[in-house]
Amino acid sequence: MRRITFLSVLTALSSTFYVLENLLPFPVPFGRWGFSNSVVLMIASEIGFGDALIVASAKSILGALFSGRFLSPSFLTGFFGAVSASLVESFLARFDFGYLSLSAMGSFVNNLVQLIVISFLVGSTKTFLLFPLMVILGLVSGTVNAFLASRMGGIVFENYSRFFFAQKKATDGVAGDRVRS
Amino acid sequence: MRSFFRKKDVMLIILIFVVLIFSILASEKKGSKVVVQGRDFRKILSKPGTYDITENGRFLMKVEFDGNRVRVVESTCPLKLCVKTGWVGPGGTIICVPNEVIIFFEEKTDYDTVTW
Repeated sequence: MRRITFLSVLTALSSTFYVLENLLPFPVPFGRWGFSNSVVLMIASEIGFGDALIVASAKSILGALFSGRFLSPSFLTGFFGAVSASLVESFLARFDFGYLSLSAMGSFVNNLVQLIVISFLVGSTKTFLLFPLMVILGLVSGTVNAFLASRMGGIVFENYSRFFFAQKKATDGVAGDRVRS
Repeated sequence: MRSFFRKKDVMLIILIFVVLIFSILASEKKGSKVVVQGRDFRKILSKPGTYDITENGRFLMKVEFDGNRVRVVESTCPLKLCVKTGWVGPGGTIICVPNEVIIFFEEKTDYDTVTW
């Protein structure tokens, strides 16, 4: 039960980010900040694979419903991108990398999968010419997201861990598999 | 608590930059014919002028071609990213995802696509 509450609070936070970041301008017409992915990054690196997958898919679906773009091309790219990024991040978290490289690899795979989905939608591989631009933008926003996720992880797991997990304290077992509740 | 930065991180970031440099090197191409490709049509613009792009009678966009550059003048898509892209020379592409249209310069080769 505690796990469900915890995950739903984080999903709500993440889908709120997803909707609100549309109001923030991004310096380049392509792309967005992707703040909602920082929540997914935090879960993938601190809790584990399954929970990150749940939150990533739930936040894409909920955020798309709230912003009125469900089943549109941008929803499809965002959904598959977020799911694959959460898979890669939770896999790399097992090998004790820092937040910065987890976020960079996450944004890299996110952009790659987005381009693959777009090339299926458009039916041509010419879309891969956008790849270098997207990766550079992804590194910028990925650094910001890594910073946000490291702050967030500190708040959730160090200071207030007893608020969420009354009996169990956060244990440092295997990296990337911190809490099982 | 996982730290923000470890020494291992440099490895992955260098890996990303290597892939980035390879993809930039691989994307330099030249051409003189403009191809407008959509879901079920493919138009080749070889003379300068302004062309209307329609799909099954539905107006999608207006494309201007002046011999070595191309741009989208008008489009029916909501965000108008293809219009904001502006003039694009050889090697560049204009992609309109809502209309599912790609505009690119065709290379002088015998094969259809290049895989890498």
